[in-house]
Amino acid sequence: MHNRYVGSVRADGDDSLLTVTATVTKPTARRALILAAATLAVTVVPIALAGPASAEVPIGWAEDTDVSTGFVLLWLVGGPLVLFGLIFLAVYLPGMVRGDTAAASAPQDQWLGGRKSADALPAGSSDQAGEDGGASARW
Amino acid sequence: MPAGDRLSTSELAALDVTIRKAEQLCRAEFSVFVGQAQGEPRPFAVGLHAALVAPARSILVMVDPTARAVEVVTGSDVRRHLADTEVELAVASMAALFADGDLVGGLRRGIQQLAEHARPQNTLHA
Repeated sequence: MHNRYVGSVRADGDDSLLTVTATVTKPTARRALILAAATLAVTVVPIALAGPASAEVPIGWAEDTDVSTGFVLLWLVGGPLVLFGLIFLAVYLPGMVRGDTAAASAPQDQWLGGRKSADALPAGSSDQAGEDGGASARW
Repeated sequence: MPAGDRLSTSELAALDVTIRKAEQLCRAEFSVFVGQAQGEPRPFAVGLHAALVAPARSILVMVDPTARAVEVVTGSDVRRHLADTEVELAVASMAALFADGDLVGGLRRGIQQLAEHARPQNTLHA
């Protein structure tokens, strides 16, 4: 290893001091390169050479058996459907037993002042026959 | 609010106040029916009006939100001060608010207008 020193060319042309220090750069770069190569080798090569993982079934465990399609459909599809049905019945069955219908749950007629029921109205009567005043509109 | 009621408790209270003030103003009885008319709206409203305690001095307002119909029926005593043209104006303003979905606002506006028009005029000379 030899040292070089940073300097400048003097006006008289003497460049004896014109040296560049390179002690820091070359060995560092070389060490970095070696380190990268080693890392690559350690990580990539085993992955490239690795095979699929495999292991024997431990002693005492049950043998692995294939699962049929019907079994899967029964438990993964039928099971949730059964649960949905049970929840639906739990929510709506009491109402159905009571006889709640769409008509019963429709908005009820409301009175403010006057009669409370529109039932049993006198047929065609008026305070003065044919002289009902007022107006109508539709929207 | 009980299930199935068209108007809430607070809305009923507001309408009740409006009706009371209107009755004090014009001295006519107001009855409001909000529900489904049985058959044609006009004959049904006339039948409701006839069934009131004092039809002659009563004003019935019937609103059928399902049929989108509003009917106002006035008694004979009321018609001395409230012309049908004035009722038409009130009904038109009610229908406009109903079209905007404001059932309670339309009823209150209509009742107020009917009461103002039906208010007996003060006469200086009999």
